[in-house]
Amino acid sequence: MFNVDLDWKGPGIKVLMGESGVGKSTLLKSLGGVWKPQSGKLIFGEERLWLRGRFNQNPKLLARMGFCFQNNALFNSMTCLENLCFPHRQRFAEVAEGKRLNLAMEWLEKVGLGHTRDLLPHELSGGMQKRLSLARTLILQPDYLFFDDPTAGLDPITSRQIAKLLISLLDNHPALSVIVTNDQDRAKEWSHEIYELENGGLHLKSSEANS
Amino acid sequence: MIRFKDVKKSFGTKEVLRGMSVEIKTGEVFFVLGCSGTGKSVMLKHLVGLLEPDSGEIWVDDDEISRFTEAQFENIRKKCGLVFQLPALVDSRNLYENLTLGIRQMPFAQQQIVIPKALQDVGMEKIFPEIFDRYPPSLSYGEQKRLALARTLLPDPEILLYDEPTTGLDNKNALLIHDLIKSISKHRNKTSIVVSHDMRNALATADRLAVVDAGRVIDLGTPDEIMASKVELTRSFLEDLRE
Repeated sequence: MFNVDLDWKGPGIKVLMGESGVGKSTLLKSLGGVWKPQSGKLIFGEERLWLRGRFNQNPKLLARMGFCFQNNALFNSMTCLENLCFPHRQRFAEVAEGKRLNLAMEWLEKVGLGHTRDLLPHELSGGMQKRLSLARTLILQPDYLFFDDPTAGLDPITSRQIAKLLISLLDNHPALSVIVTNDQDRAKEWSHEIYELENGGLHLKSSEANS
Repeated sequence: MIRFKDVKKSFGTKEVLRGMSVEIKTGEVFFVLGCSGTGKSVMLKHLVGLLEPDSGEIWVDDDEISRFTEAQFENIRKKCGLVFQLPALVDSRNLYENLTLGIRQMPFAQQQIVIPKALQDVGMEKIFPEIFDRYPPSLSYGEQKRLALARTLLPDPEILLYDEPTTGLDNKNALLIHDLIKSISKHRNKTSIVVSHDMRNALATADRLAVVDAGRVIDLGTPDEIMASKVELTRSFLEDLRE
């Protein structure tokens, strides 16, 4: 229901804010290949996300994207370790299973969940589920990362911890990341490039780094 | 008046409420703050009979409700409106049917008067002409939360229980909801208990706030008292406001 033109260069973090209902999540899901836009082009590097005459996303490009959903979208029937192994197996089938398990354990450790390998997601707190969800997105080492309100519903202390964790993880990972948030405190911590989505389109709200 | 007196509640081996004691006055806007998993939502669910305490007493006005039967809870549930953390709308029902779940006995003509007012209260008056044609999945998450709040307000309950009413909302709408909580309480003398993580708006809206940790109230006071608190967890919660 809106027209958006944007030309972003990575690596780096872009923060996307705006009133509820204005289409932040819709824009993020369009960028992340979750939803197909009704019109317009989505081009990443030289490649188009939606190829003419095809109903599916460009598979090569989709394999370079990672999406972290607001509700985490973890697999409730899988252990924490398997929640990381499963998407990795889908994307990198050629990797030996032993290597995959080690990598998944490494990522659990990185997000401070080493002790939860055999637990199910419902046995974790909200903050721990979010950390698992971040690890699941980042284990695939995508070039384009999309985070839908990663601190929503978390208490201020956990929210600050998640924000710091996300910065430290992204610091070591040269990707173009887009974070949708309603939290102004966290937005400033994540990036100097804060964009506001309004009915009239997308505007750069704050860009201290460029000034 | 709502009173929790040494209320304990466990789920399996996990003790969530470990002797919760607190009193909330009629007409008061009372905020409950705390980390995830400390029993804030569990506290609200006890008030409407969705959970039963293992021990202790829970009073709503002159009724001790901790051992109420389902039939006895009917009146308490009419008295209390609960805004759930998730919107909890019925996706297969249109917006009108969702909004009128608690006022189905009300004549249609009267519903047509009260619904626009409730939608206006939550900043969604523009959607009124479409409520028969649209369904919850067509709304954004923030709009779903606001519609759920309008649904709770429509039966005009005496006590309003809000479980993180502004999670997922932008600042403008979060402020609108907090102003609404305050104005409902002041102008209609409703008691409001709000579980929240939004420190800025909580301090601006609350008459009193409680900080809960490990199933107990560890700090309690007016916004000024909370701002000056020496309790470590409270100070940690306020960190963003000091930066």
